[in-house]
Amino acid sequence: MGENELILSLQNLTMKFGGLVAVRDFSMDISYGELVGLIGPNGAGKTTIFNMITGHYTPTAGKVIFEGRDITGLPPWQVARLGIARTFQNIRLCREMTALENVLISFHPRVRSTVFDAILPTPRYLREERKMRERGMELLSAVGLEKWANFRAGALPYGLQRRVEIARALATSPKLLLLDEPAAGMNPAEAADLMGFIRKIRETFNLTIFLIEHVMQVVMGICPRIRVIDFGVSIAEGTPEEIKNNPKVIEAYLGEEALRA
Amino acid sequence: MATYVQQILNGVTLGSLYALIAIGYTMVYGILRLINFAHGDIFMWAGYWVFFLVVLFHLPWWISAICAVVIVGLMGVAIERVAYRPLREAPRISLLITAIGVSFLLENLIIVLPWAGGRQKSYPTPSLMTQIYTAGNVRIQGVTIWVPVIAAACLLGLIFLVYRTKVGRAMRAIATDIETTALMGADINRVISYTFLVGSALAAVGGILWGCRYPRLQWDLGIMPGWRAFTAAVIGGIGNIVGAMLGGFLLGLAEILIVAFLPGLSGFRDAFIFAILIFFLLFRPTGILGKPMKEKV
Amino acid sequence: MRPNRILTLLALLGLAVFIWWADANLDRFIWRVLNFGAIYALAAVGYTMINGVTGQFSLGPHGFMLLGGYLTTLFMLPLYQKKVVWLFTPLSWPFNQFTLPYSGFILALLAGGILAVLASLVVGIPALRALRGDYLAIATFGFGEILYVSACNFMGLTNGPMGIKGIPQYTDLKWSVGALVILTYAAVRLKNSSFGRALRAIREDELAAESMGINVFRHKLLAFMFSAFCAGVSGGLMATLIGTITPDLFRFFMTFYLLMIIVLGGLGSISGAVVAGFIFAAIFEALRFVDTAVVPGMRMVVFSVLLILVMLFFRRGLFGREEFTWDWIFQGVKRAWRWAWAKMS
Repeated sequence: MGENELILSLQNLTMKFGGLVAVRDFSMDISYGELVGLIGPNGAGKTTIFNMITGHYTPTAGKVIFEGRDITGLPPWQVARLGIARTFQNIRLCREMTALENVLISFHPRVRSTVFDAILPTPRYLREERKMRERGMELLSAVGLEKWANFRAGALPYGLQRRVEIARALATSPKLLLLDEPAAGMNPAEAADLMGFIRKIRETFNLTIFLIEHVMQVVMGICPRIRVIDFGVSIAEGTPEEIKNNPKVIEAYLGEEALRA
Repeated sequence: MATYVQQILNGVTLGSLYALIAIGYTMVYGILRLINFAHGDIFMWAGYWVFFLVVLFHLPWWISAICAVVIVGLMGVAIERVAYRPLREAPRISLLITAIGVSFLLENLIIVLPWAGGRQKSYPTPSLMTQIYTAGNVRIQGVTIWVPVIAAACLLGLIFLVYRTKVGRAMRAIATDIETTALMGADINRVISYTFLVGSALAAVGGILWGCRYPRLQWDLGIMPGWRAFTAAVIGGIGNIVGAMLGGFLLGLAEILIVAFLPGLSGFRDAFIFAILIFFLLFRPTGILGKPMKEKV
Repeated sequence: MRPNRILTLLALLGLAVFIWWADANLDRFIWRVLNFGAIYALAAVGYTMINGVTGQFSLGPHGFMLLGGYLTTLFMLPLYQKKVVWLFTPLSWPFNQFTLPYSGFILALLAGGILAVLASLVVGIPALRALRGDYLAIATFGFGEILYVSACNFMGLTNGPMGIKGIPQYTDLKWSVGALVILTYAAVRLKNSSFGRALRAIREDELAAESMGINVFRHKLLAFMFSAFCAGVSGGLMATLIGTITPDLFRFFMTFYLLMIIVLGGLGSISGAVVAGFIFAAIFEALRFVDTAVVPGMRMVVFSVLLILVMLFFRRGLFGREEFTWDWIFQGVKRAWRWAWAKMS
């Protein structure tokens, strides 16, 4: 736990692409240990908000405060090293590398050996390499993938690929995990599995989780607090019950699938 | 005063030639996102075709010129069909490597052909082009008048094609979003072939006129003008046809004026071109007229 | 010790014996081809590291080879030769003051490599930060051309287009293959390390790699520097093999050769680059008859067609992205044995 109760504070974030305002004046606070959802119709700006947090986009205005520190505009690799990890809407795995190698990539920034240690090789390098592989296998076991460690990531079924991506994100030892539509493409049974999975990793790894989702079953099922945005603007926040019955939310989704639990 | 006028006219001539070549680069890039390394060599081949048709087959110059434009246009289509189309789904690097291979092939075929060979050949120039006109202190060759005129005519024709015909509309659509355009029912392959046809034909016009201005043919003739034209296309905004024309003129003028008034630097001419190119790529990749693009995460 | 490692050490030992014998006794023509093979392979090893493993398309190794070639020459050329060669413009300081004896050869080669690395920083720092794909290729190509033009113009350093003659021909198999072995070893170890994983991740998905905390720019730059070093050393070896050097030796066709080699070997395979380097040198010599017997320039036509065909039909190359392992030979032998056995029964 940090000195503040807040792990993440988004202050008046605005993102403009030329003339288009993708996100306008978005503010939100997230406390340590929370499991918060972000929903909204397609194109509402949800992933843009994630991208502003992780540094892939630099906000046109506003601030991102993480653990009390202003990280606005820092490059993604620095944001990752500070403790924010994410997954992507369309899974961005290194398909030609094995599941284990994908996870090992995340350990690289913490490696203390230099390239010279790697070339010689020195005992320090060999030790680190071995420890990384052990830890990588541990992580894969934690997500139930130890059997697939040496399979090419691109050859795995979609649901497993999602889990590899999450394992890879977990390997960065994050404090805050951003999940971008983790349930995309899953049937209700898989989605139910995912819900349990998310709850479990939050406990096991002591995480704060911020999640974008379209599959209402998942969001409503696990997030005690949900924020709704539409056209880049916040329109509501509350518990799943409150959100379900909020007229503004229903209006925003009118014409799309009705809100179902 | 006379020198200024003369040099500016030279610059306009050179600029027109660069514009004609630059358009081919920019059209192909707009549609396929490919930098067609072989484009400068196509330009060189046009000059050689005129040479072959005139010297070996004894055809009149004008007929040879028109034939050369058609033949080179078709060469462009053939190259796309054989070397680029199969790789359309492949990673972009593969396409670029293949283009490099085609470029080397075109250059070395000339060296190998018995009627061309590695040594310089003299380009047959019609008297219309070599005729010298004087106005006061200014002496210019016919070519200095004809090149901009012909180039302007071609460019007007191109603008008509791109903005007023169905094919042109399809070209612009593909340049924006190739997948959606295909889904809309456009015959992508045909439009791409057209693009190569037009781009290569324009480069051919440029090559034919180039020979009138600089009547020495050689296998590596197309390399540096090709890179200058590419730089022009980048300056103007790669993918933007008007930008290519603009860039061509700017570059041609700049080159003539700098060489005329700062002759000590002429040895570094080629280096400057690349320095300008790198500068634009780093700091203004969309050129003067282009629009910035952002990658979706 | 594991059997693979024993085999590798035995192979290296055998190689050392061969080199020791060959430098003295092997037919000079074949010896020369082997040297060229090693030199091309060395440059290709570095080149496949940046183009293949890291996926950053550079078209400039010819420029780095030029730098290495010229600096090594300036270090090693005897003083009297320096006076002879630089007729019109005198050789500039400090090179007109000293020359290195044979014992300084390794220093000269390293200096060439280091100069190439410094140059790679000049173009790499801005270009790798801002450019990708085709644009990066063009920028590196442009830099190579700028180096060529500079070499033609800075007469006081390079003697311009007339080039430099009388370079002591110190390169022999122990130098060329020695350098190749050392840098190939380094390259393979790098590729298989965490650093190499990061490079491969960058090739596959730069965005995702960065999201995992990898400083993508720094890694690209390091790979680029490595490729420049290999190219610089190979340029130095080439100059001291041929004995003369001109700017025209390092024009774009040199990059074209390297491209062919790394594509043939498999983009991203270090051992593939080594094998392909030697194959290329052999084909290059074998096709020389085509140039003399048929038509000059035919050789390049053949190479161009070859490159296009490989790109169209054989893009994976010999080894794909993998590295050679002794297991391949074992599997191959087993399979051949089983096939022969089946045929006989």
